[in-house]
Amino acid sequence: MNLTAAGILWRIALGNVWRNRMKSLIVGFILFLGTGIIVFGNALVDAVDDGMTRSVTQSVSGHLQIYSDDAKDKLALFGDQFAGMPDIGNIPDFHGLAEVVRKVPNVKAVIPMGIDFALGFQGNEIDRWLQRLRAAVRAGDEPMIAQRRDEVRAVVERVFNELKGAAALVAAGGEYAEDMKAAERAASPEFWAAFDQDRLGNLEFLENRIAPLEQTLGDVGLMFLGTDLASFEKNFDRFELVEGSRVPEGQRGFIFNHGFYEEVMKHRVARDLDKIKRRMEEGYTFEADAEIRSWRDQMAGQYRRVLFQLDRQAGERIRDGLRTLLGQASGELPDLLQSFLKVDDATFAARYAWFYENVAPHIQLYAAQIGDTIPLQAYTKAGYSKSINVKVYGTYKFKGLEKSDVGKMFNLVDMVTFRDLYGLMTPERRAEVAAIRERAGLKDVKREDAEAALFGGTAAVETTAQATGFDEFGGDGGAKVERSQADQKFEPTEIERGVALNAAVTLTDPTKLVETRAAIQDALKAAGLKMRVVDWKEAAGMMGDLVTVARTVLWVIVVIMLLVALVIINNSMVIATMERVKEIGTMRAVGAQRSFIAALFLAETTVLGLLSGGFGALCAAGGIMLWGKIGLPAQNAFMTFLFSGPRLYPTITFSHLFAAVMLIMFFALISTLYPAVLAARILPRVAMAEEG
Amino acid sequence: MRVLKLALSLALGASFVCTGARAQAPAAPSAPAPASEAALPPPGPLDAAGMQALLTIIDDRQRNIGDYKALATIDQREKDKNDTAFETVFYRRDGSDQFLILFLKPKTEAGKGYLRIEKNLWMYDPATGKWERRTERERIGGTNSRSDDFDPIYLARDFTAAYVGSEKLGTFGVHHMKLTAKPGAKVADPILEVWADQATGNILKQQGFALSGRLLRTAYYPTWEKIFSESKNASVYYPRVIQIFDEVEKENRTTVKIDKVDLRPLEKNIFTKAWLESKSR
Repeated sequence: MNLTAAGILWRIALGNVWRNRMKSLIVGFILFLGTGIIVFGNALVDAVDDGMTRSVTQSVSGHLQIYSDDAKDKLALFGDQFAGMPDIGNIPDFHGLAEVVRKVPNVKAVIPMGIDFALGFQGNEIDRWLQRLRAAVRAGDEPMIAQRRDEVRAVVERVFNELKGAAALVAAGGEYAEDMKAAERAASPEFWAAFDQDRLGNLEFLENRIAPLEQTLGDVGLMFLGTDLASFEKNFDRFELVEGSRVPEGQRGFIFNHGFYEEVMKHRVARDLDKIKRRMEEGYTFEADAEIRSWRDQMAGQYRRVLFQLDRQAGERIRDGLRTLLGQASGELPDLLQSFLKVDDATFAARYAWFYENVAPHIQLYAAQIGDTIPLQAYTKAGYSKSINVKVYGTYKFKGLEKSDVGKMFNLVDMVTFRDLYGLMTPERRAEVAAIRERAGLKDVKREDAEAALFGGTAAVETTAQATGFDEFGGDGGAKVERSQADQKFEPTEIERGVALNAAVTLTDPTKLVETRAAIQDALKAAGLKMRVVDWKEAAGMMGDLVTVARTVLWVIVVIMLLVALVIINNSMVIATMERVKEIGTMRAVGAQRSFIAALFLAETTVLGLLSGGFGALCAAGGIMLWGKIGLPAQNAFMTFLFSGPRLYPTITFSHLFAAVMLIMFFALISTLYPAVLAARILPRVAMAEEG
Repeated sequence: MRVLKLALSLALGASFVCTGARAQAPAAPSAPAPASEAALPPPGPLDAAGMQALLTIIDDRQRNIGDYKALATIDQREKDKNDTAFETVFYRRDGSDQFLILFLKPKTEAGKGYLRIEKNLWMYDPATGKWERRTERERIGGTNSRSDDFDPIYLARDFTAAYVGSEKLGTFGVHHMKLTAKPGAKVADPILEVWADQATGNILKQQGFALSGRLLRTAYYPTWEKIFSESKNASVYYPRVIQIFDEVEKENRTTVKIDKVDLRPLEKNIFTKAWLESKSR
């Protein structure tokens, strides 16, 4: 086809598009819509991809992660599909690995890591007072003993008064009567007058008879990430200290995740008040929302958690304050606290403020305060439990991820403490276990044949033994254990010299991730280190798969939509072809070749596709630019993580527009092929016959 | 039963006054023949009274009127984990419901312990110097053993029995009974099934179930030893070996072996936090 013919073709095509306006409008609208959706979808997924990349790489994973090639499971920083922590083996000598990786070009930092889980035991409010008194007695600090003894006495008196309130139960006898008797004794002046004569004995009486009268709080599970804290802060931009201070160099220390600290470690009543406040800020009211009323009722039932934490003076002050606030001339603290906590729409704001101003300073607002030393207990790799005292230095957050569950997941601890809690099985320990077994002559019995092995013979099940006195402390059985010291220091070089479970690698130029990954893998192999190097998406486990899933879902939707469009366009064109038989026949009669007719149809679709697709892409671009200014709000914690903040701000690029128009053009032309072939087959005489 | 416990406590208290701590005890005043010496029910199906009688015998056999001390080894094998073993000593003062287990080996575990006083089970870790309140279901040292493996629960007092059948366990004829915890009873498993040897009355197999009916663990007691207690004026029974199988984590199993038993009076203040703390300071 020469240039003249091409010119004629495009002119006719443009004319036909205009002449067949109705058909062009239908097909054009479909192409317009399709292009818009592709542009929107692609920009959205790219924005989520980018958000998640930032959430993960700037908070925990870095750009690459390295872990043992002998790992049983794949690394999943945020847990695997079974919501557990995978077994990823360990890097026995982190320093050796880091030395190799740091030499690879584009590597900015290599940070040791390990994730583990510890338990924190809470006891109950009375247990806490008694622990404080026991610590003072242990230390022999007389002024402190006197002060804490009076505090405990005030709490015990409250327990007694509370129990008196359950007079009907006490009258029924049984355990209540015994409890009442114990509480009466503990609250009596005689008990306290004689307390100092046998402090430890009296403490045990209080611990075993009085403390159980209050409900015990559940254990707290703490997930922690052991790392080089200074390097972590330096290399993960999202890290921000919220309260307290950094852990000094060479010092053991613990930093709570601020979200976790507020939602788990905070006093139950304060937490409930915060939760109600957040709900009310979302527009809910006590009058209209049953859930908020239910929270309020549960909170009022927790008044003893406040009552038993107040010392005598604070209790009297709050009692007087509540009498004024509630307009009650009399009334005792337990009743006043319950009335106070029965908030409604009219009273909530004022009481919330009153609580934080007048009550919070006198209670233990967090189960562990900043500056406290807390015991962390974990099950070590060696199989034994290990407890360590560690000082809490502060709280931190990942900027922008405050509301995301993933952003609240990890508390931080220094690498040396982590290693102690992780506790690998050493040859010495293995030998010790073997010696214990050998001495006891233990036989391993398997489940499958236990009954046959144990009861299949005729051996007597009952024998007579002789009492054998023994001294359990005669040998080395009385070995003394070193007390874990929270202020124990270590050489900063120790952080690197030892085991890590995985290593995070940050890059100077993240766009060269693929090449750098390959270079690191090669360097490790050359150094004889059997390690896996994975990118952040793989390291994030299920989280990393989400973007791939989101993108796949989008493309499935787009392809389905395009297939529908293909059918509609095809039908429209076929119908239009049938309506244009005479016109096509005439063209054929005046010498138009079949190829010209087919090209004409394709040209018409191209014109329509470019106009509609282009217009659709521009409209979508405008929409995204507007959306990018306003931001799409994250509706829940998970979306906050995906969006890398409270709102998603998508951006548009030329590639989004170009790809969408090209794709829509491709589908439009495919759907025009059949009508074009049909039209090309029309013979001039058919058109004439129609004329006739 | 509470009256009995009170009587036992008084008797025990009296023995302390007379003997003093760790004395090479003159025996406590002879007690009347205990329930453990009563005749066993005959083989074959048992009615309610027969089961109650059998459970009372079992309960009584395992208790001493005086003190009780035993050296025990706990061996734990778990799927995908290192095997662990502990050498422990446990102390009981049955009359006042007191129990203490102290870990002796390995070195890293020495000084850890559990102390039970009435309804309180405390765990102590000398590494932190902290006492933690634990529950009856606590896995001792993270193994499948629990405090009731060392300090038997009261089957007759805390459970209602139903007879399942007269069965064979290996070559032994056994009474198979299903025990359901009475309301308010503080026990680790709300439902138990026990297989008691018809010839000797000893429990050979015990399974613990959750309230939902889910099987949690199976324990076998292949050998029982009896040792004469002067204070009780009768034998005290203890399982020489307990094989425990975790029914949730099927690969996990624990063996408890009691190597030595000593029935001499213990120090008076042994069941205190101060005593346990003193063992690791």
